Amino acid sequence: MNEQLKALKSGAEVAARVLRSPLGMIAGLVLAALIVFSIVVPAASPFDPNTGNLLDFLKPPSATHLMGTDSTGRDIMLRMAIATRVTLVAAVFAVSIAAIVGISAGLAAGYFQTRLASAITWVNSLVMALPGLVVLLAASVVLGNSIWMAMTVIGLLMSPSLFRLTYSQVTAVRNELYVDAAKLFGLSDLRIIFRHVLSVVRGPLIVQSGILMAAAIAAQGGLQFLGLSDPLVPNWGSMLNEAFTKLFTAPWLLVWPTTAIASASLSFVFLSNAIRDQLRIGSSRRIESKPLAAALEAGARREAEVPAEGWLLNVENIDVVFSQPDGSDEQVVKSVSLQIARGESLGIVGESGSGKTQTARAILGLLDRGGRVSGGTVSFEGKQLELNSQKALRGIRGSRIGYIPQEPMSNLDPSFTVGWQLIEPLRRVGGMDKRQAEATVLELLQRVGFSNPARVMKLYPHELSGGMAQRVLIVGAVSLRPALIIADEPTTALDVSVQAEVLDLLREIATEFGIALLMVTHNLGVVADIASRVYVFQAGQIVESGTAIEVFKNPKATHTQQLLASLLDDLPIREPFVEEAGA
Amino acid sequence: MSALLEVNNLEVSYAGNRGGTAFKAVDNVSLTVRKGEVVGLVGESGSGKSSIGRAIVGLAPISAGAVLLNGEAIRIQRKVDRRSLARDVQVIFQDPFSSLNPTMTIEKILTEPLRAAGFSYLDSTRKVRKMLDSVGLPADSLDRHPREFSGGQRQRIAIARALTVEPKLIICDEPVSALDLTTQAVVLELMLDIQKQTGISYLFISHDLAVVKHVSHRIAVMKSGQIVEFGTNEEVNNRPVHEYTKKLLLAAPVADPVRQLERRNQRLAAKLASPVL
Amino acid sequence: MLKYAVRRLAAGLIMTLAISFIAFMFLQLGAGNVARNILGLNVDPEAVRRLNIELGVDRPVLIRYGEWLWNALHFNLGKSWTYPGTVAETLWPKLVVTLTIVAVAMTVITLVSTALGVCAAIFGSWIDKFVQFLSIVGFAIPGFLVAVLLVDVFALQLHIFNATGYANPTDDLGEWARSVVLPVAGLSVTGIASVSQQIRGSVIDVLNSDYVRTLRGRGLAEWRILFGHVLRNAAAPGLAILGLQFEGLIGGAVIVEQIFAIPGLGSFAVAATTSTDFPSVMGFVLVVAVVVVVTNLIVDVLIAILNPKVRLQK
Repeated sequence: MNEQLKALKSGAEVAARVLRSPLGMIAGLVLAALIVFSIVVPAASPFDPNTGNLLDFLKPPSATHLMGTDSTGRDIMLRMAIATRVTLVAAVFAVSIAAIVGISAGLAAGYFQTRLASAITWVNSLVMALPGLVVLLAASVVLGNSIWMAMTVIGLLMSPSLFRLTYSQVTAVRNELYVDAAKLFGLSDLRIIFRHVLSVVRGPLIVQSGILMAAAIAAQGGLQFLGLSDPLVPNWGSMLNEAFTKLFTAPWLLVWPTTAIASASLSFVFLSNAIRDQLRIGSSRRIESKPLAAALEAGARREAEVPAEGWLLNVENIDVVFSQPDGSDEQVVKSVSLQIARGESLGIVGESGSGKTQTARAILGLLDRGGRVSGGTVSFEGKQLELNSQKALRGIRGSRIGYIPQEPMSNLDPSFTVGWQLIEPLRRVGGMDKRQAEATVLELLQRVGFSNPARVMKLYPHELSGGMAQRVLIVGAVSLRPALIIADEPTTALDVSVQAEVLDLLREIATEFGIALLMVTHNLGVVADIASRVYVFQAGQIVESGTAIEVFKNPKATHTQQLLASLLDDLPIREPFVEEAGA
Repeated sequence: MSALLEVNNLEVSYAGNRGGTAFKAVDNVSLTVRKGEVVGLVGESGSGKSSIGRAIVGLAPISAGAVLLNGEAIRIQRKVDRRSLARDVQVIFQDPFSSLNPTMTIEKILTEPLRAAGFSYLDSTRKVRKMLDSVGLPADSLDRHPREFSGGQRQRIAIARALTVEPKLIICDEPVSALDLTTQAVVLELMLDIQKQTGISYLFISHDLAVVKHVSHRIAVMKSGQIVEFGTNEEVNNRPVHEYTKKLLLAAPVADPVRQLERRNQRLAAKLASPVL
Repeated sequence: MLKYAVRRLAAGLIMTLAISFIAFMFLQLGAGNVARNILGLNVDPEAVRRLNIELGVDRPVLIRYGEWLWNALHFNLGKSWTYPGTVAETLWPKLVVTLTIVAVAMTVITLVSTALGVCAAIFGSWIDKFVQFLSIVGFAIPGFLVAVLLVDVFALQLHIFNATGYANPTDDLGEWARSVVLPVAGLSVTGIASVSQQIRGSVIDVLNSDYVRTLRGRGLAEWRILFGHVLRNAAAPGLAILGLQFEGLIGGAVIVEQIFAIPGLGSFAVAATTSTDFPSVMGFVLVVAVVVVVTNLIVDVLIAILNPKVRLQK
């Protein structure tokens, strides 16, 4: 969501950045050239735009007529210059109308959301559905050939797109807490709309307006091309039409109107895209306080005893980096080593940005785009694991290592039923037939606590509660009987009582099926509840490891001590309230 | 002697989709907050705790019952009513990323409630500079934008904003839930210090019993729109009466493996004894 | 599902009624000029009055609308004031011609946009940048300009296609195909540009979603995730924009038909409006409204099939 709420820092600053970018610079130069052209030529030209020397018709470019003459001997360059001015001014006019109508309607409808708003939205989709040119044709008959009339109609026809954009942006913003705060302070609705809503949504609106300029130019051109414009005013469309009819005799006539229409249109579209890119960059530059590099403190790394059959998973000194847009790499995990034995429960704990989630995802090859493992080795069940090879990992995912994600609702495909989503991997990855897969899923759904598994199979994800969805995800992770499950904060999004039940469930299933559990969490209580061994992360590195009892009783690393000191459970209860005397 | 805030038989109902059945978020809830007191309101999602907070300041529709401030019914119909209410009651919201307008400077954000309350530009900026100090933010913060600050810092800004008009009561709607563990503790201490120094009352809403335990004088436990237990901090934590409170107390895991094992066994035993809750 | 479709259908019918009503009222604004347009400027006012009575423009507006509506429901769109024969007779073959060309253009747009959009989203890097650049250019250059340029290059310079002319597919399929290549190309360019951008955007959104990561975590092959899950979830916004595109093409067809001298709905519309041929214009508006409404209905139903949340709405 915040992606779309572009913060428009001072307009001048954004404008400067836009003009410095390659797209913006080209667009700016072309538009400036067009504007200069439209002003200078009419002022300096000795010719008349509407009458020409009939003897000079259809002459190619020469010293006197720099762009040649048309079929009645008129100077093309002068006509082009005037047409440029007319087109640009008319386009600005049309887009202004579209903006005034569309944006104010969008602001009002989006902010107030009354019945009137749904009526306006209905009218809007009505207007949007009408083919613009058809309406323009009808309008030109009734209203005549005046360019201002045509531009007003074009502006009105373009307003739905601005309305829709404004409406959707405002609907999103009005639920933001800062709007609630403004309401609380008693600010008037008008002030809230202008100060809080419009300032946040204006970015996308400006971008869209730029694109509409190009559309207005195209619409004008189309109308003029069809001959439905004022014949006394030179315009690109009718010049293009003339060039088209004379295509076989004077093909060079095509050059000028084509160049003009294309360059004007392209410039506006380039400019809009440049603005949009700059806004996106501006808002994502978040200065997060960089955590200090972690130092390894004495006694903080307690080595665990290697089991007889070897480690189930052995991670040695892996680094995880993300490539940045400017080409550099940002390191999020540095030299991390951890081991887990068969059937063991391991806790990985740290604050946000500590690298714990990235480590867990790296093991499964589920890093976001741009991420990769840049160093270290990993072995699973005795075999080397190539973490950057999707192909190698696909053989292991689901079948040997299961994954339970954090947000239950957003991790289920909204288009398919629960049953289908659970069965598909059993058939495709596990090789079961339909009946087998169904039976397995039903059994597991029962096991995780659903009293009516058959009914749950037919539900869609949006019909489930958070707790139910998480149980479904647990079934998904467990169904192929993997040797290890990596659980990435599986209870963080759940209520505390549901959390307790889900943890119970995970513990039972892990024991029953002999599955090792690698639990990533920021909650020390969860670690104490479910893990026998713990790794503490800070700033992408492991600062402490050992059994849960050791680490909690006797933390050696400063960070661990800080974490434990931040716990609120052991803080004193507040002293009782003492009423003020004479209150 | 009347309490600062009185909520009497409050009912909050949200209209159902397309005219379906209405959803009662808050069902016949009564509570009081005295001057200088902190009342904690604890519950899981869907318990109605946030709706109460929002209803008090007029952000949620009240379908029955009354809210009184210093004995007088709260009015929010006209903007001028809202402005006068804002001088007495402020809110600190949960999400530090959503409660500050990203396009405004910190100075604008902090002076906004003062300006709305009628203070001059000069007075507002003076007050705001002092406020930065008391929440531990550097003086040069004023010209920066929210995106340049961390979650914990933004929450301090939100706290400062609530304090500028020197209200009598602050509704704290899960103010530390979105923060990291270490940051949580720090911000909570800040809120506690401020409360002790200024004597402001808090209605402290949270899903986390541990958080509420540390700051509240009295605690109300909510479930499905109703208050199931309301007593002093000490009573609720050490001698809970309602089954739900007991269950809630045992459900949150503690960072001590040995003690957590005991608690888990207690919880599971209780579950077997009274299965459906 | 059925209830949803019925509701959308009812909404569509109301919309058609509204459009026809507004158009009818709007055209009345220019009513005074009608008889004069037909008879010429310097004519006896008595003759104008008589023609007005004959044309029936003196009766109350609502009654005339009611009559028109009643007739329209019986597929009687009246007699054209400029073309020989009834409106319906003239309109039908032209509608078929336009719809055929638009249908071909839509197929081209859908296939090419999907391919470009999906490739840009999946492969990223230079392919993505290339497709984006093509989109910007294709979107910025107006359709009629593209058509004119196509005629210049392919008909004039390279002599591959004819500049104008239209053959009936039933008469000679090959000739028909040759005659529609350039018009379809002119219509498709802008459409491909905007639709491929939209598809690229929605595919990227879905590829970055949590559940796609979880599906990978279940061990499913990447191609299966792409075709079975990603495309299905990304389809709904794509369908919506394709629907809008189809509606826009009807308008775009107007100019393209002028350029390529195709006897379709577009040229009919231009002729009818410039000669203020009321019944023809109303017939044309009604037909377009029906096409738009049917398109919206189909798109809505398809989206409902794909999206259970929409389908199961009470």
